[in-house]
Parts: sequence; structure tokens; C-alpha cells
Amino acid sequence: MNFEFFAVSHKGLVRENNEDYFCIPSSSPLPKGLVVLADGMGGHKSGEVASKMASDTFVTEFCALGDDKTITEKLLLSLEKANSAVYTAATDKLFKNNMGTTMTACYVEDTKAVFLNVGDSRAYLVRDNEAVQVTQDHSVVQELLIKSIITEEEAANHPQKNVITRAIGIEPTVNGDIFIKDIRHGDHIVLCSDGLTAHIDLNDLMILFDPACTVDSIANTLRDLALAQGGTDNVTVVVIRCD
Amino acid sequence: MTDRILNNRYKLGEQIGSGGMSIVYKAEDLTTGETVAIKVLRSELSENDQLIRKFNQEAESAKRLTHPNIVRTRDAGYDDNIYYIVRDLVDGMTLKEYIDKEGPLAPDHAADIALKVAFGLQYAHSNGVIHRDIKPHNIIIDNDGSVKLTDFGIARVLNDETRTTEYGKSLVGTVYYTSPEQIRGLNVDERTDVYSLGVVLFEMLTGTLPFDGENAVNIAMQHVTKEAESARKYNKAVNTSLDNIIRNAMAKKLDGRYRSIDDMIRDLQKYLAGNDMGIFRIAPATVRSSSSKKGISAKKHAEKERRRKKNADDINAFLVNMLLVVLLSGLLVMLIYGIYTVGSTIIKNNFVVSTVDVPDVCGRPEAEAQKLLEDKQLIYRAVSTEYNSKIPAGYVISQTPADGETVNEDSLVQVVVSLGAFEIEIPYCVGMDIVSAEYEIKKSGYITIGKYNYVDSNEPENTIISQSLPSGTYSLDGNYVTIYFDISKGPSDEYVELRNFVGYTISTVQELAKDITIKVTYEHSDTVGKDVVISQNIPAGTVVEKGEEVHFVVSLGPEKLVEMEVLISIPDNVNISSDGVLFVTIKQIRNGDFVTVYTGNANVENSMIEVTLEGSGTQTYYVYANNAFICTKTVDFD
Repeated sequence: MNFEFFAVSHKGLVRENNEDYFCIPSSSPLPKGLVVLADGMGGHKSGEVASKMASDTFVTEFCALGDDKTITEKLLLSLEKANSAVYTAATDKLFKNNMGTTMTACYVEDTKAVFLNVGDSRAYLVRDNEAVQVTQDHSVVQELLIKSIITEEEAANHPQKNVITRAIGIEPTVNGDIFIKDIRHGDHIVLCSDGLTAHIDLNDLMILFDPACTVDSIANTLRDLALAQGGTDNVTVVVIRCD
Repeated sequence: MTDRILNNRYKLGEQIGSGGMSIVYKAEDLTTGETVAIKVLRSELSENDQLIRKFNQEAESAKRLTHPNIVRTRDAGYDDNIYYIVRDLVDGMTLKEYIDKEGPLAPDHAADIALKVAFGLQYAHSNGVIHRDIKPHNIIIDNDGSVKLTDFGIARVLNDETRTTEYGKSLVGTVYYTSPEQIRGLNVDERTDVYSLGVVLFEMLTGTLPFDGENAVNIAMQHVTKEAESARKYNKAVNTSLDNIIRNAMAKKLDGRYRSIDDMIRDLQKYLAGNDMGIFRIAPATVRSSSSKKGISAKKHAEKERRRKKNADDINAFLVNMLLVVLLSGLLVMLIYGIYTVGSTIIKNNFVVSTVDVPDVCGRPEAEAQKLLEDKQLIYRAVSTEYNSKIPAGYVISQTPADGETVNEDSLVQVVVSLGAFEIEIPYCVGMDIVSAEYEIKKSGYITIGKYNYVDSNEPENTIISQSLPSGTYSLDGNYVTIYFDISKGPSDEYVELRNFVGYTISTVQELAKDITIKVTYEHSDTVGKDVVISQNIPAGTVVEKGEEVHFVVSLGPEKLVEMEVLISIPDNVNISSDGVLFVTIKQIRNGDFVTVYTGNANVENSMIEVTLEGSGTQTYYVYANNAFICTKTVDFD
């Protein structure tokens, strides 16, 4: 299987800075199949620091781990390393729990994709004109919705949409969710921060994934559409095309 | 942070508390020297301009809240990337620490604390402020045992008013006390505070939380979907009535919850007065047991209408059927007639509504009042309790509707029941400054301060001039009493505009010029009459400080001139003519000018001449002979 990668990130039209960060295979020492997306949080731009530190630490650790470990183990161990790094780096003694980040990572090889998720950034598998969410959001509103505690309408208008239940860098340890999917030729994988899904529904935009469109056009268009709808948050999109 | 000074006014001291969103420091208000508490907000909250504006609005609301059971918000501001809120410093501990320290509290104690919190909420709600974050961490028990609510305002901005998307992602906080409607992201009203207080009451009585779990979403879920266990399971001393109060407060559906904090206060007071027989679970809206005061007439009306309609429909349907049967079979006439007679009686007894006159139950014991009403097919409902100086405990103070009114059977008659007499001490505050007076009033716990009335007075600024209630024991009518103060604006201006005194006699000046210090010098004047002011050294119209010295020149009148024969000795070296006549000129300095007062010949006898001069007081003359200066001569005319 051949993979094509492309990613874009934009601070949006409302926020002062961009606290999203991504890593995709474009230069060494990155292994060929790993992508990472992180959405940072915290004042005084610590969100920027957190997302970058978590992602870079994660990727470095992943590359350093030997092949005696499964992909899942490598992802989880790298997550622990990233979490420790951000947790101990929290220099704002004023408030504990101040610097953190979400992270969605995906490793593709042959016909398998392994996903890791902490927080409310998402991964989708796009196949046969349908985008299916692979990861589960660790957001208060989403979790309440999934458990049918609140209705879709209540979720859509909920004041606490940006409140998450899990993040990297807040506690000494963190639990990441793992999802494993088989991939086929023609599949696309999309990772995005909530700045994208706040404004658009991927299932309305399947035309973008036509094989005639390049991966960069997919990513750029998705970003542009989010900005056109208001761009209220940082928006980051990572696209993997499986040929 | 310590020793940092905010806006040149507040010097931060030691840290005294912290939470997810903020840290609290002791601080000194450098302008007054007072020690205050300052809550500093998290940096990303402090950096958002829109949020700052909203925080300020909330702080303004919170500043207006003055009540014995609320920690006063004094100020809020922004300096050097920090948004802060200034409050009274309360010496004591949070209810959280109190429960951790004391364990589950005795029912009366817990109910009393809940009642005090409820009073604070009642006041806030009546001022349009909902707390939204009631929890033991926001309730302070100070060293005197007073119960005070704190932290109004921030929760409103962060939880309900502001979409969290406005200030970025954040990790979920405490959800132990969050109401179901808050979990669901719906608009909340005052009843959300009732719910949270219910949870606090549960925690005080049991030492545990009604809903707990491994993560926030798990706990949040329970608020919406799971019935809390009874507090009695954990604390046998909790009786059914107190349990009902908790359940009424924690009802998930609003129609099963106390309609307002007032209703919760009523039940808590009943419980504490030992009068807890009438504390029931609120049944969500069904035909009979609605506890809605406002909705009663609307509901009653709707019921009446429904019954009327049903009545009419039923009779119509029945009659039609009956006619058909009669038409079809004459043989059944007797049977049908029998059915009709019995049927219409049944209809009359069950569907036609009869009315009744409301009896007078005021001043009667509850049991008697209840019986009187029930005998007339009316429903007795005690809606609130109050202290009353004249009506004994357990007796009815007032009723709605009033006696004599005609209502339908099964109508509700609502009464206010007396808790009996309760005496409080009203302190004597006249002569105190506002701050001390507020402190004295707050100590008592049952008095609130009404709007201040500022009056002109010579007393120093902010001194209490009079109070609307005399000091001493006071018998409460109601749940608390409001006292009003007249407060001195301070003595009027320290400055006065100087008027013109020129032309007035000095005695008039002394009468008129009460605000200045008068200094007088006297001078002769040919033009200005005696004792009249000739001039003042500070011009009229000048604004001077009170007590300023003003110099007046007052006229002595024209100089009184005395004529005198003055003998002047002529020195030997003066050349005298042969006939003994000398040409003499006498000059004098007058008003700075050297004037000649005498010119002429004088006979010299025995080396002396005699000249007649006119003047007053002591004068010095310069004598010239033959146009040459020869000597001076001082003459005392008086």
C-alpha cells in the first residue's frame, strides 16, 4: 500500500495564536507511517508549548522504540513519555493543571491503521463516500450525548462544548484509547482538531475525496471551509490517502 | 506573588486558598490599611478582553450584595495581566474544611447552616443574582459561627453566560453539586442554587456525596438519571421531614423541586422550630397537589373549565344515547327513565361544581384552622413561616384568599404560620462610622441594612446620624428586619468666597464675617467716615479657606487738628536780620511727599521763634531759615 500525507493548520479567525500542532512524514527521523495532531490548552501561550512538546516527544520516542514491541505498545509508551514531559514542564506554579493538550495519532502500515486518542481531536476513516469517526471524543458534551444523557440539540448548543475530560500533561499519567482498523486501497484517513468539526460535517463533503483531487486540495479545502464558516478556533487537518 | 502591588492599591500577602480557576491571597488595601482577601484568576481567563468585561459586570452586581450571610465583594480590577476580585477577609474556614474536621453534622446544626445559606441566596435572588456554583468550598463558617456565601459572579461568566469556545479548551472541573439542567446545558434560573444547596445539605448530614464516581461524566450522568439515596441511610438522626427537604431540593425535574429558595426556607424553619409535621414531598403537577402560588388561579381556572367542558360533553353524549334508545324501543321507557334519574343525580353529585365561603382562620392554631377549612371542603396549605411578635407559634398569621371570599370547593387556602416571638438585639449605631455600624449590624444575623440616606451635617463624613429602629430588644415580625441609617455627608465646604466689606462699619464686618479671622489697622481719612472700612487686603470674590486672616484698614475719621504755639530754638550760627526777623520755612513729610506747612517771617526773641502749627498726634517738622535747613522739631499735639 502506498500512502500520501498532507497537513495544514491555521489559527482561525478568532483566536490570537495557533495552539494546534501536527507531525507528518516529510523529513527524518520520522518513521514512514506516523502522523500526530495535537490541540493545546492553557494560558500565556502554554497551549502552543504543550502541543509541540507533546508531539515532538511522542514522535521521538516512537522512533526510538525497537520493533520488539507492537505498534499499540509503542503508541502507548510514547504517550506516557509525552505526558510526563508536559506534566513536568508545567512551569506556571500559579495554577497546577494549566498546561495540556489533546493528541490524536495514527500509524499506517500495509493494510492496518492503528489510532491513539486523548481528548477531543478526532480521526475519521473515509471509505465509499462515507466518513466514519474512528476515535471517541473525551469531551463532556460528547460523552453525555453518547450515553443519551443529553439530546443532540442540547449537545449542539451546550455552553461547555470545549470542556474535555482527558488531556495530556494534566495528571502524572493519562489513559489513551487505541483503535485498530483494516485499510483498503482508496481509503482516506482524516485527523482533525475540533476547530474543523465545529464548522463542518465531513459527510457533506465526500466530493473532495475523489481520486482526481490531490491530498493537499482535500486538506486546504477543508481548512478554507472551516474559515468560511467563522473559524472560531484553531483548525488543523491531516489527510492520509491510501493507494 | 507576595508583596506584589496591584493597581497601586492592593499589596498581596500570603496565599490562603486555591482552586482550579484561581488563587486566593490575603492582601492589604493600601488606601485604607484594611486587610482583605483577593482572588486572582487564571492567566488565560485574565487575558481575554471580552471575559474581563463580563467579569467586571458580574463584580458590579456582586458589589451591590450586602447581607449578613454573604461575603461582601469590594472591588475588582485588572493589572499587569492579572484579573482580581477583592472581598472582605473572613476569619474562619470553608464548610468543606468544617465537614472534614467535624464529620457528619447533627441535623439541627446542618439545617441551620443550610438555612443561613438560604437566607443569603434569598437576598441574592431577590436582587437578580444567581450564584450557580454553590458548594461547601464557597460557604464560609467564620470564627463567630456566622455562615457566609462567597464567590458570586465568576461561575456565571464561566459556566453559563460564556461559551467555553470563547476562551479555549479546558479540563472539566467539579460536578458534584451541578444541577441536572446545568449538566444538560440548558438555561438555568434560581432553582439551580436550590439543587446545589440540597446536595450540600446531604453532604453535611452524611459526610459523603449523593453522587460520586470514577470520572466527571459518570457523576454528571447521575445528576440527570439516578435518584440519590436517602441521607437516612448514612445518618439515622435524619428524620423523614429533613429527608423530604433534601429530596425536594434535589428533584431532577423542576416541577418536583422547590419553586424558589423561599419555599426551602419555609421548610427548614418549620423543621428547626420542631414544627415539621407539614413538610411534604412536592408532587409534580397533578390535578390537586400543585404548590404553585402563581399558577393556582390559572390551574384552578383550567380545571374548572375542563370539568365544565367534560360535564357538558358527558351530558350531551348521554342525552343523545338516551334519545336513540327511547326512539328505538318504547318497551324500555320505564328502565331508561330509572337510569336517567339515577344517572343525572350521579352527574350532579360528581361534576357540577359548588362554591363555598372561605372562613376566617387567622389567629387560630394550625390544627383548628385545618379542620375549619377541611369542614368546608377547602384545602389547607401552609406556604411559609415567620416570626411574629403577637401571634403564638403554630398559629395562623394570615390567609389567602381572605375570609368571606367565595371560592369553589377543593380550592386551596394558603396560610402563613407563626414561629412565635423571637427577640433580637438592635445595636446602637448612632455616632459610629459606616464600617463599624455595618459590622455591628451583621453580627446580629437577622438585620439587613436598607439604602443609606445621606444628609447634611456637621458630623464627620460617613457618621451615622440616626437609625430607623431604636436600639435594644426587638421582636421580629417576619424572617428579618431592615434598618435604615441617616449618614452624614460631612461638614460643608471648607472654603468660603470672600465678600466685599469696604464701606461697612467694622462692627458690621464682625457680624458678617464669621468664617474669617479679622485683623484691623486704623488710619485717618478725610473721605471715609469714622469706623468704616477703607480697604481689605484680599479682594472680594476670592475663595479663601475658612478662618483665613483678612486685614481691614478702618478709618479713624479725619485727623483732629490741634493748634499749638510751638517754640523753636534757633542755633547761633543762623544769620538773623538786624530787626530780629527771620525768614522761616517749615516742612513736613506727608504721605511720602515733602510739603511746606509754614512759610513766613518770624520774630526772634531770646534765640527762639514762635510758630503756630496745626496737627494731631506726634509730628516731626524740618525747619529752614533763609532757605537753609537748620534743625528738626518734634511736636506732640495731644
